[in-house]
Amino acid sequence: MSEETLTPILEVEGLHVAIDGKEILRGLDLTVEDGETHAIMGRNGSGKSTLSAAIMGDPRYEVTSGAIRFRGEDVLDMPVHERARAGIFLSFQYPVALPGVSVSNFLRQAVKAVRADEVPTKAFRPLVKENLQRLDIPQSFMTRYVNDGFSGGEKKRLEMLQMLMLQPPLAILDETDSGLDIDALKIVSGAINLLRGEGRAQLLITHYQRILHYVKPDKVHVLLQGRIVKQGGPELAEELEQRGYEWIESEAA
Amino acid sequence: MSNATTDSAFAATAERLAADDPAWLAAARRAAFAAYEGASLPDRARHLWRYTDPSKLLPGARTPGVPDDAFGELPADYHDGTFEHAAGLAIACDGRVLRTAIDPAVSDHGVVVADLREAARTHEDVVRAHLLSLAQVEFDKFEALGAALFAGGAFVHVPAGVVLDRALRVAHRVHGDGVFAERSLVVIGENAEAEVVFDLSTVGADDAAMLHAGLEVHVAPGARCRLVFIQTAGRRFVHAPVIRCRVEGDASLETVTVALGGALVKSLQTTEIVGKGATVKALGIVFADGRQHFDHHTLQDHLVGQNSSDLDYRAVVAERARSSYTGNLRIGLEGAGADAHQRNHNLLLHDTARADTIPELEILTNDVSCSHAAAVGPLDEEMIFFCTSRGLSEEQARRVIISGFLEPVITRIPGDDLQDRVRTALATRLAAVT
Repeated sequence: MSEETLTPILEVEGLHVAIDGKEILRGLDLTVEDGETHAIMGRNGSGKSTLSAAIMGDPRYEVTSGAIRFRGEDVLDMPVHERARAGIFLSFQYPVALPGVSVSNFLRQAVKAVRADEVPTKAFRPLVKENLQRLDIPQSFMTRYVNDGFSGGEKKRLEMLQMLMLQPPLAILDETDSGLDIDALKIVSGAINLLRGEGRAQLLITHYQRILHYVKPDKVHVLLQGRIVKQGGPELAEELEQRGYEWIESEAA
Repeated sequence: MSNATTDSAFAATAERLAADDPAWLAAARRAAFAAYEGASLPDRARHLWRYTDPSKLLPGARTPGVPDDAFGELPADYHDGTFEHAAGLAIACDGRVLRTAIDPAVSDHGVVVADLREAARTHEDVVRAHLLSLAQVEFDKFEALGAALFAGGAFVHVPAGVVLDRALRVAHRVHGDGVFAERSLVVIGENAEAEVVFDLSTVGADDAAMLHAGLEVHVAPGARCRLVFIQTAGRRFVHAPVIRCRVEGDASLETVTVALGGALVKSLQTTEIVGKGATVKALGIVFADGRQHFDHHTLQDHLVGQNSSDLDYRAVVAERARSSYTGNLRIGLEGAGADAHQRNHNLLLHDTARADTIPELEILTNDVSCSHAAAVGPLDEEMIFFCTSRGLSEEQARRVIISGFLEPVITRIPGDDLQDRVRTALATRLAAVT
C-alpha cells in the first residue's frame, strides 16, 4: 500500500441528523479516500437517503451534531450551492420536475455556476453532444422541460447527464439504479465509471447489489438504524445478496 | 366618486365625438352614455367586485384625457419598414389609431387594419354588423363608459378564406393622467386564419392615465384566431379592459394575456361558444409587485356543446401586490358534450403578497367533462433544493423556477422579438423582487 498523503475526499464523523424532530442518523462515521468508490447498503428506512441529503445540505434535514468534511473542509455551514460549486453532486432518487425550464437552459446555468472556468461558452455545445451520445439520450431532450413528464429511466439518465457535465469530485448516487432496465443500468454504470480515478470519489447508495456488478466498489458499508454497523470489500455486497440483512441485524443487536 | 362637474365634462366629450360619428354610431354612443349615467355602481357584495372597489374605475377627479400624437418610442425591432415581423401594423395613441402600415400582399386579399371610427364610414357594412353586438352596455357601467367615450381604436378584418402567415400588430401608447377610452373590433371571416397582437403601454413610466378599453372579437365558422395582449404600462396606469369574444362552429380562438404594468387592472374577458367543434383556449400571466392590484375575470360560456375550452392563468405576486382571479365556466342547457377545463396557479413570493382564486362552474346539463384547479402558494422548496444542488444560488434558483412557471405562456406569443421583450421585462422585474 502506498503512503496515505492525500486528504480524504469525504469524512463524516459522529453524524446525527433529524427530520421533523425525529432522529434518523445516530452517530455515523465514514471516510472516503481520494480515488475510491464506496457503496452504502441497507434496508429502506435505515437512513441511506438521509445521509445523502445531509451531505448535500437539504434544508429539511437538521444536523444535530457531528461533522461533514469535503477535502478536509467543513461543509456544514456552507449553503447548498456552495457545496455544489465546491464539487459535491447528488443524483436524486426522485428528481423533481422544473416545468417551463428547458434541459438546455438548466444545464447551461448549472455548468456556468460550477465550471465556468473550465467550460467556456463555446465548449458547452460539443460537450453536451458528447455526453448525450455516451448516455444514449436523443438531442430532443434538450428542449424538453427538466424531468417534466419524464419516465423514471429518463429522469435517471438526465441525472447522469448533469453529473457528466459537472464532473463532480464527489458524486453521491442515491438509488440511481432503482427502476432501471438492464440496458439503462449499463449506461448509467458506464457514466459512473467514467468519473472514477484520482481526485474523485463516488458514494453509491443502494439496497440492491445489482449495480455493484457494473461498478465495483472499493468498500461496502452496511447502514442499520442510523449507524454503519459493518464494513468490508465487494465480497460483503455478495454476502448480503445471498444472506439478506438479518444476520447483520442479529450481529449488531 | 363621480360628481356633476366631471360628468358634464364627460357628457360634452361624448357629444363632441358623436358629432363626428355616422348617425347610427352617434345614437349608440349617446345610448351608452345614458346607460353609464343611469347605472349604479356594482354592489361590492357581488362576487365579481369583492376584490376591487368599483369607484376606483370611475373618472373621479380626473378629467377627459386630451389625445396626443406623442407616441413615444416603439421598440426598435417593432417595424423596420419591412413586414418581416408583422403583416400589418397599427400605431395608436391615447385611444386613436394614428397610422397603419400593411403588407400589400396582404391588403390585396382584403385584409383591413384601420381606425375603428374611420372604418365606421369606410367599412360600414362590416363594422355596423358587429360593433357593440357583444358588448353589454346596459349591464356594465364601465363598459358603457368606454363605449360612450371611445376616441377610436383598431379595426381588424380578415375576410373569409384568407390565411395570414405573420401576425398583425396594434401598438398602443397612452400618456398623461386623464381618462381615455378606446374600442377595437376584430372580425375573422370563415376559414380565415390570423394572429393579432395588442401591445399596450404608457408613453412615460409615470403616466397615470385611466384607460377604459373595449374589444369585440368575432371568429366565424372554421376560422382560427390567436389574440395576444401584452400590457407593460407604467406603475400609475389604470386599465379596465372588457373583451367580448364570440366563437362559431369548428373555429378556434386562443387568447394570450400578459399583464405586467399598471397600478390597477380590472379585466373582464367573456367568450361565447356558439358552435360545435369549436376550440377555445385562454392563457394568461400576471406579474405583480409593489402595490399593484390585478383583478381578472373570465367567462367561458358554452351555449352549445360538442366543443372545448381550456383556460390557464398564472400569477406571480410579490411584495404587497395582489392578484385576484375569478373564472367562470358555464355550460348551457344545450351544452352536452362540452369539454371545459380551467387552471389558476398563483406563486406568492412574499408573506405580504396576496392572491385570490375563485373558480366557478355553472353546469346546466349532463354529459359534460369539466375540471377546475386552483392553487396559491410559495415557491416549492424541493425545486429550490434541486436547483441549488446544481450550483445555482438561491436567488438564481428562484428566478429559474419563476421564469419556468411563466414560460409555457410566453412561448405562445408569436414572434421571437416579442417573446424576448416579454422575457426581458420579466427578468428585470424578477431581479428586483428575488
